[in-house]
Amino acid sequence: VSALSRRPADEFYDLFEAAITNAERAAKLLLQMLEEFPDDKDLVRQILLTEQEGDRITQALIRQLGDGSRPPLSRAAIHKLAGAIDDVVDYIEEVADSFGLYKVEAPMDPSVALAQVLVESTHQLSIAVATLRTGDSMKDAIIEVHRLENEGDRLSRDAIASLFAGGVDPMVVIRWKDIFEHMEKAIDACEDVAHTLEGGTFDA
Amino acid sequence: MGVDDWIGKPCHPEEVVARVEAVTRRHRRVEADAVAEAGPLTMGELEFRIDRYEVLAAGRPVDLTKREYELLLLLARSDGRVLPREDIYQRVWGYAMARGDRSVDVFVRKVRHKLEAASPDWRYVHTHFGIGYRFDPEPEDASALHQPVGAEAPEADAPVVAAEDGAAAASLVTK
Repeated sequence: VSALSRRPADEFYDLFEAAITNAERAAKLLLQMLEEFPDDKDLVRQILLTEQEGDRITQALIRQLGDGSRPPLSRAAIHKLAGAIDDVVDYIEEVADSFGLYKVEAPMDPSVALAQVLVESTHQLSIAVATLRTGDSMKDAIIEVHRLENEGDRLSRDAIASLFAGGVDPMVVIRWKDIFEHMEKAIDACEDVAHTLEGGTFDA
Repeated sequence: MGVDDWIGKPCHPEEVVARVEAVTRRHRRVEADAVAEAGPLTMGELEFRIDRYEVLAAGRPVDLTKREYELLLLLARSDGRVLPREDIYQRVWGYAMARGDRSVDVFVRKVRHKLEAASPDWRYVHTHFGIGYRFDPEPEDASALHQPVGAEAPEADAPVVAAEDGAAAASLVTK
């Protein structure tokens, strides 16, 4: 009976919810990786798996469009939202990967703070995406994502500025400037998801 | 008298600073080599064979990386004084510590794990929350005697953020 009561749009909602839950998981894994670094090396692999899972969900969404199902958003909005959520996970994976690439010895406090912002941003996006199905207001969650993006900007700017205090190892400056910038991009990508949700055409 | 380096005018102030720091680093290495001739240093169950960059615990070598070795030796030579994180970083890594860098905490944790495995009945590196670390070999039984009944020892490597929690926290010491 429940299968009969499902609307065609539910398949899309399922996939969007799976995509944003996957992004939230990636952010939580990144935070855990930074808090426990370098003790749990398997966390980098787990984050890579979320990136692969994100790609799989994005492809499933695009396939669903091709199946002739009637989407709850315009086709362009589906593409844009799927891509925006995928970008969040891609940036998170790049941050995790850069720790190995740059042979980082230890985390920095601002990176943990930025990861906390990412966790909260993806959580708010999970709330917002869930409203696609329920029709509830996503306004509060979207406002919170914008606030968190501002906080991420501030944290990232302060962190990068502090690297240029006198006498810091130039190699530390190079690798951490890059990592902080990637973390900021991941947070910016969360705001892009919020913008896409705000601008989506909902016709379910 | 003598000249270690020179730079012509006009020059960028940052290049002058970088060159001075490079000379200082080289000078420190020379000092370290001089101390290396002083012979072994024994503390608790640990024996530092400075000329071989080696530490023995109860006669068995402790598998330390170069940086872990330098960190441990620096602490061991500090006569029980508390060394601030920033000073440890400057002297082991040779550069100023970036704000919020957890490298010292991570390496102290690694050294502690290795020492606990090699010399389980002793505690060597003590945390001074919000400040840094102190080397003081202490038999495990002695640290148990100092522990108030029912009190739990704070986590050895509590986050630096937590360590900044007021002046009272600065007096907390763990293994």
